[in-house]
Amino acid sequence: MIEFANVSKRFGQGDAVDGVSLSIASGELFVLVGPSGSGKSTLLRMVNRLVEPDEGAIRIDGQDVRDTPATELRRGIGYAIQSVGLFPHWTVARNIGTVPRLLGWKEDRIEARVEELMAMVELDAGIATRLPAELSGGQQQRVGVARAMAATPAIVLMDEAFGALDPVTREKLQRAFRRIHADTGTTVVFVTHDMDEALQLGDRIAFIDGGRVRQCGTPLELLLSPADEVVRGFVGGASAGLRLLSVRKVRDAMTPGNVADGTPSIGADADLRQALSMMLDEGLRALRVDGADGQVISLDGLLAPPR
Amino acid sequence: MNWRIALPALALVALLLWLPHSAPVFHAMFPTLGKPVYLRTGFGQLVAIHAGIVLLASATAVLVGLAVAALVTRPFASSLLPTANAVAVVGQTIPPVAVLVLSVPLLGFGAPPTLLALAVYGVLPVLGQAIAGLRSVPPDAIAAADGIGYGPWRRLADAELPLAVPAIMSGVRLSVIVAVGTATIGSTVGATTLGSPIVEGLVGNNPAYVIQGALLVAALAMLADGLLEWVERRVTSRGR
Repeated sequence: MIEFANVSKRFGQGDAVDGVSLSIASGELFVLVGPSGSGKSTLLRMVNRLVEPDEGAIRIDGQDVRDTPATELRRGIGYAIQSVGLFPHWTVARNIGTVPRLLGWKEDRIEARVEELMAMVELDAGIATRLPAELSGGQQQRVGVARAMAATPAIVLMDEAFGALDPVTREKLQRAFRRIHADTGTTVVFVTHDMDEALQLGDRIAFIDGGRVRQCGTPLELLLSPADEVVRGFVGGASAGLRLLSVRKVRDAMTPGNVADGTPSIGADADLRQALSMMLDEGLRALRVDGADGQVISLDGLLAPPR
Repeated sequence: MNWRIALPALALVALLLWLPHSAPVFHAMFPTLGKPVYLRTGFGQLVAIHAGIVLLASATAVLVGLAVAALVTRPFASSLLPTANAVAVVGQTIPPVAVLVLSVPLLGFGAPPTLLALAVYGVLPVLGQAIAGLRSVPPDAIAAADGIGYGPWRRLADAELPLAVPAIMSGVRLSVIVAVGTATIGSTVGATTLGSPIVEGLVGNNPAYVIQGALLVAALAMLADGLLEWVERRVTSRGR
């Protein structure tokens, strides 16, 4: 568990933070979202002591981060940034194995782990011997994620990690990352200024503005009951309803019912936006749900208030 | 086969073998000279001493230059950076002879002042290039290194120095080449080098001696350059 206890940072590097208290559960994918300059990166960088708070404390599993020497603390926390920051003179494999090497793992163990990680982030094993400059932006960012997770850290910090990618690559990586998170059970703190990304990824989201937490809750909570006008504006104002569709799953809105044989079907884990899009494409008011007999997803289901 | 090493090496060996027997040629070129070939010290011995002085002075210069550059690019010593940069740039405008003359009162005549002058003068290009190289390391690589738990010295050794190697090596090459040439001036303060035949030839109006010394120095300088280029390629491909 990561706990911010009344943390403030007034001057110096990074944007100000003003009396933030947050509690992030183990295994959670927690997103800090907010406009640039809001202090969200400063908060993130306090977890691995790249920034020290003026007031308050950050505790990991009850222990103040200042009790651990900075370099030791950082080797136990994965870190990925927007600019990736791969070492340009090292191969992909060597870059991924950086932290295990710092921790003194044996070479064959590092090699096995690198292989495993490359499969995890869906990188072709053939590029292991390439240099970062020979990779695409998406590949570089995957290497960055693999490097952050190399030593199986309990916590991973990601600072706009997918920010520099084109929308298609970015969505692919977000999906891959959700899966990786679900498989590994790592606690992830993810900073982004992109509300869609926050809603897509976060188990919970803290909306940061002016160095304060304006609202903290699940994507659904932020969309359905924004705490104030600023949050309402950021979650999309008039188009918040469309975002709601992409956050909710078919399984959350399906209803008992019957449709004609041969009606197309959709997976229960697809989001409602995909369902609506399919209905529009097919000119249908209802679709069958895969593997759920007697259940349909219908326009009425989409319109019903979220359960 | 690396021709940039092989050719100068071949030329050097050929010169060493041929020069002792070159009296007829130089006699034909300069008929008035009584002794057309330099005999006071063997050419092989001159080359060995010359190379030894350069090696010792350059090794010292590289170590000092790298150490100072690494130091002044650390955050805690950043106030020294402008001074170090200025010394590296302005220092190279001072002619090496001046440094040599100034070190004679300190160390007397012979090899010691030559070594000192070469080492001091040789630091400058290494220092300047190393500072430039270390400062051009991508800041995001440094940020990432800090974030994943590199200590400052480990970061220097693992990331910054390797990334600065191309710049550093160009400084080292320049430093060594200049030292090979400049070491000849050491003979004006009594050091035995390949400058000995040149200086004696100039003083005694014997152009044959000058040519013999100059040919050997040129071959040696090209050999040094070829060797360093090879080293440079080796160290920059590390980590592949």
